[in-house]
This record gives sequence, structure tokens and C-alpha cells, in this order.
Amino acid sequence: MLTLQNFSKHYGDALALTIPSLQLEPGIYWIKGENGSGKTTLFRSLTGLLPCEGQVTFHDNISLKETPLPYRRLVNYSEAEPLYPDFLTPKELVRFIGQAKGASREQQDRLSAQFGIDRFFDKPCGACSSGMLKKVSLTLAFMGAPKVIILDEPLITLDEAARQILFGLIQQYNEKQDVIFLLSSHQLLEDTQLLLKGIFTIRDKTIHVG
Amino acid sequence: MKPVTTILNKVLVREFYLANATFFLVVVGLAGGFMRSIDHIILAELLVSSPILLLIPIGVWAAYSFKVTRFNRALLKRGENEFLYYVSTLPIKFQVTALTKALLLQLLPIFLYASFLIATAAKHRLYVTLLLIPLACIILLGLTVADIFRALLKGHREQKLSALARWIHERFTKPYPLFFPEWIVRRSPWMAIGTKLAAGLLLFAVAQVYKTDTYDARLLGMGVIFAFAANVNMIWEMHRFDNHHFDINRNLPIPFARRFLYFIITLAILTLPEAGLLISHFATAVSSIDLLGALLFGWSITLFLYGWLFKHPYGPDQLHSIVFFTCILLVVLILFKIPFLILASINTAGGLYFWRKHFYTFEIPINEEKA
Repeated sequence: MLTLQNFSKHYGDALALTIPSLQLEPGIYWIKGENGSGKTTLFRSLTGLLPCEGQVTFHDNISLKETPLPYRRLVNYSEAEPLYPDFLTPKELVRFIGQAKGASREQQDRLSAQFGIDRFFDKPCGACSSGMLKKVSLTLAFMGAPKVIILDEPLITLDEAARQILFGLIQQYNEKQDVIFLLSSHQLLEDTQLLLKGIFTIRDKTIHVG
Repeated sequence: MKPVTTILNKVLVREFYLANATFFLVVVGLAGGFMRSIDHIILAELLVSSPILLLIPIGVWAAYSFKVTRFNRALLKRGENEFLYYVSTLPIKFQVTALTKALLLQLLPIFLYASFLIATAAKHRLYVTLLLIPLACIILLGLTVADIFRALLKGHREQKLSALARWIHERFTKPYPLFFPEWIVRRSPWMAIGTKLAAGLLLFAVAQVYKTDTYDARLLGMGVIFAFAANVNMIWEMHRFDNHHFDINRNLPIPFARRFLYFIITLAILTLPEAGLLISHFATAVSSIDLLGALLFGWSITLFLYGWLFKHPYGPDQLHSIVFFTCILLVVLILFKIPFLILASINTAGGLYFWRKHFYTFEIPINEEKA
């Protein structure tokens, strides 16, 4: 279970987001909100990319702040519009991030093949389309043995075949490995095959159920 | 017209001078530190005395113009600057005027020195030279404007891999410590080359001083301080690469010891020229212990700056003032004969402290764009 207690994020003196209390059990959650409402801020804070105030803990004993390494082993993230250094290849990213996340070579190759990024494994990111980079980013989000996978706008720039593969993986990880998924999307996730456990909306700088 | 000029000044001109601050610092240092005003006048009189000798400054100006052109092209390739391609939709006269204004500012050092040469030529009534200098300036300005005009018109070209690059990519997976060296060489090659040249020349000059007389290791220590501190822009870029441009790195469960190891390997690669010069030119001038201490001391300065940036997310300009005062303090400590190894230990401890303490709470200023 992922628990947030007295969570808040400021940019300078300006409050961006505050969540007094939130508990998430394994399942798929849709995080909605207008542009600029704070979805990405929440995601980047939960991932450890942005510092935040308050407590973020997993199973009460793994904490974002007190145990940053075990926490980061469990929380993976795919950005809405991933940007990687132009000269790096998807293979180099998969190998480096896969190794850091504890993914075996077999898992790295399997996930790469599933999303089809092995077809442009040796092509520098600068020569890849935004859809290709999105697939790289999604592949990286499933590396290792994550317990929380945060996917920011996972459907944008993604083709239909890749969407089906993504939905399949989300279901598989959720059912077999009890993973918590936080998805943000402006597209209707209710119409997809995903079985949503909860819907949250971010507005007025806090999170609301439904 | 004004908004376009403002944007070009901010994106092209300001960025150019920021990225090349070290380069200009070295040029000003060499020109102002080693030459008196009378030397400048004698040199100018020599250069304008014949059209053949005039080719020397024109050649340097051409190299500088090439540097500007390379910088502008690299800048246009960055994702955040794609909006500049809209300039090509403006009327041609409008585009040329706006681009010329920006290039005039980027090429300002050429025009300043050209004015000095023109004044010298006028004083000696050298009419051919008086004609040639403005002509060279106009041609260089025209070429640089034409280049960026063409680059804006053509837009992005598809990045194609050479057979050699494909062969390398298929057989070799780059390890993390090589990520940043490739990034900096591609992003700011002239900054990297300028830094290495400045640091190398400084150490080489110190080595020459040791040949003329007997000095203790303090002179080497002072050389090392400035040679390694000259890497400040590179360290700033390295810090931003690790924590901003490649920020997924911050989500990875990499133990601190391994991050430190990656840093040391990357640093060793980046400072290979300095290390090579130290070993090859100072092995007989100072003891092995002092030489090893000097190298560790040099590395520790960069580590301290890297760690400092976690506590204070300064821009390069602000960091320069920190570096300046740090260098002065270290020079004073060197003069008081504090051993290199002790100074290296203090710098290392300080750098590691800042890094460890502030790594997870570090946040990039919100106005800094990701490239």
C-alpha cells in the first residue's frame, strides 16, 4: 500500500499541491485534472524526481525520504513527453536503467521486444520519433520488480498495437504482481479494457475522489 | 521587428556569450595579462603593414565566425529552440535585418579589433588596408547571416547514421560514465576544447617556469588550482546533465558509492589532458608525492564544485564568483604550505557532504529549460 501523509509541494513560496492523506492499494488508478492542475508535479514528486514535503511510504517501512534506494527500486515512471540525450540509443538506455532497476538481461530483451523497440535498438534517440521515444519510456517503466508504476499520459503518440500491448502489460502486472498503477490521461480510460480501481481528480491544488 | 530582435538576442547572442564565457576570459586574460598596451600597438602596426600579414587577423576572424556558425547551428537543433524556425516565415527583408542585428552582436569582438586596426591603418595612411579590413568584416558578416538564414529555411534534417556509427552502436553499449563526455563534446565542443586548451596552456606555462629556476611545489599547486577551476563550466554542465537533462537518473536506485565512482571515472576522462601534462611535465620538477597530491587536489576542486551545486543551484555566472573566491582562498592556503593531500581531503569531504546531504532535496530552478 502506498501512503501519503501531509504531502505538499511548493515551487518557491507558491503551493502547487497538497494532499493531507491518501492511501492506495494495488490496482489501477486514473488521475484526472486540467492542464497545469498538478498531475505531473504529483507524479514527479512520488517518483523522487522532485523534492516534496510530508511522508510518502510504501508498506509503512519503505519511505521516499528515509529509505530512498529501496523506494526507488519499487517506483517506476514514464514521462508524458520523454526526452533523452540525442546521441544515446534505446539499447544504452535499456541496459543502464534496466541494470539499475535490477532487471535481468532476459527481462530487458523481452520488454524491448514486446514494445518493439528492439527494431530501432541501435538508432540514436535524436533520430527517433516521439512515438518511438514514448515506447522506450514505457519499456523502461516496467523494468525490474516495481510495485508502483506511474504513467503520465501513456496513450499520447502511441499507435493502436502498442496501446494493446501496454494495456495487456498493465493488467498482467496488476493481477500477478499486485502493482499500483497511477495513470493520467485526457483520453477516456473507462472505455478501455482496463479495470479501474479508482478515479481521482486534481483540482484546487488538492486531490478529490471521482 | 522588436520582438524578433529580442528573441534572437536572448536565444542566440546571450547564450553564445554565456556558453563561451571561459573562452573570452582566457582571451582577455592572455591579451591583458601578457601584453602591454604598447605591445598591442606594435602588433597592430605589424599586422596592417602588408596585405599578407593582414591575412593573420582575417584568418582568426574567420575561425571565430566559424565558431559562431557552429554554435548557432547546434542551438537550432535543440528541441526548445524549434520555434525559431518560424522566423523563416517572415518577409525575407525582415529576416535578414533581424539576423544581421543578432550576428553583429555575436561578431562584436571582430568589429572591435577591426576598428582598432582601421585606426592604426588610418594613422599610417595605408589605404589598401583601410579598404580590406571593412571588406573582410562585411564578407564574414554576410556569410554568417547567410548560413543561419539557410539553416532556418531548411529546417531539421533527418539524422542519418554513418556505417561506422552503426557498426559501433551494434557492438558497443556505452556505459554511464561515457554519457556526459559525449554530451558535452556534442553540445558545446568549443567550450570543451577551450577549457582543455586554457588548462593545458596554464600547466604547460608553469612547467616552463620550473625549467628556468628552482621552485617548491607551491607554484605547481597554484597552477593546478586555476587549471582545474577552469573546468567550472564543464562541471556545471555535468551537474545539470546528471540531474536535469538525464533526470531519470534521479529515480534510479543507484547507491551513493556507485554514483561517486561514475563521477570519478567521468572526471578522470574529462581531465585526462591535465593529468597527462602533470605526469609528463612535472615528474622531475616535484616529488612523486607532491605530484600525486597535486592531481588529487585538482580533482577535489571539481568535486567540491559539483557537490556545492546541490546546495546552491546557481547558474554559471553565480558559480564563477564562488570559484573566484575559492581559488583565492586556496592560493592563500597553498602559500602557507598546507600540504596538497590535506587540501584535497578537505575539498573532497566538503564536496561529498554537500552532495550526500542535498542530493535528494535538490531541485532545478523552474526557469531552466531541459534540452
